[in-house]
Amino acid sequence: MSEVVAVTGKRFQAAAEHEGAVIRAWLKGTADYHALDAVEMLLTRLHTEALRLGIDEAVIDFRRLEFMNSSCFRNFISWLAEILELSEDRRYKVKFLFNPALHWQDRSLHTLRCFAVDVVDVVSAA
Amino acid sequence: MCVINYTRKNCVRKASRAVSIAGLMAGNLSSLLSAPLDAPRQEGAPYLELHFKPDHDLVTVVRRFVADLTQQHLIDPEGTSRIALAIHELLENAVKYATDGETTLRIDVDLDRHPRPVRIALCNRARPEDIAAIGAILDGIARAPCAQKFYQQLLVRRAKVKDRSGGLGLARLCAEGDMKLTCRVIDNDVTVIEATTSVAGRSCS
Repeated sequence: MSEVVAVTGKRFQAAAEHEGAVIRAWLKGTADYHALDAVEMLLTRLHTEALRLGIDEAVIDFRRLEFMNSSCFRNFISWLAEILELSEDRRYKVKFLFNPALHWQDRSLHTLRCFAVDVVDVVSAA
Repeated sequence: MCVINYTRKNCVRKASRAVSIAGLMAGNLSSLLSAPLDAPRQEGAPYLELHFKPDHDLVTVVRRFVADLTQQHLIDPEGTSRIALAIHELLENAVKYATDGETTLRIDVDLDRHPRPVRIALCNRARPEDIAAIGAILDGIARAPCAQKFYQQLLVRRAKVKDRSGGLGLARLCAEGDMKLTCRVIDNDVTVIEATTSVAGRSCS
């Protein structure tokens, strides 16, 4: 397993690792105004490495993410839009793991799934 | 400066006095938030009112505070989560766009009705172009078949724009927070944004 990227902010941490055909990332804390650059860096780096490594899937673990504001959320939308623009042979899937006790996650991830239904899978994983 | 008013049903007299004090300290911004919910206000209905100059750190502090308080009284995690989302998005807008920073946030809950109506009102001064942007978002939501449809269309438009312009937050709290939004403009520069919804929770009192 090799590290793809790690970011640490005031109240936000995230990291991604690569193993085989999968990149696994986790986010923790509060993705608010202070985390905007960190989230952007995480997803930019993740996407670049995903294309370089030719992965099949990115697994994004939201379970320890207390909250995400709309500005950080928009970075996920932009990332998914970039994946949707890829040709079929380069496109990879994205699976989000969410905590059902954090109700905003279910609703926000539903939005991401509606935005990129061919790419996004959402899994409840307490 | 921060003024916090908080009432439950057995604190009517104290609450009335607190509102008066807050109105004075808030330069009458708070008095603009006294409009009733969608039905005449029950005397002594509980509310929380904050008058302060929020910054990005305080947004998270207030969201957590309101979420804890709401959860204690409504015992409805799903409703609490939607209220917390609205608090965060509305206050972040105030931090970005309030011209003098002064902001009044008021949350009213009607515990006598089921499901329980909740009104979240945010009042601050804003520039004409920002008031117009709020109006454009609300017009778009009103014209769309549903808030979710408008939100998805807005996401598609914003996905490829590399700037950090706002607007998603209001659409998000309508679509994901199941809120109805209105905006009043007073004296050309004071905006009162009201987000209303209902929560299913019961009272713990």
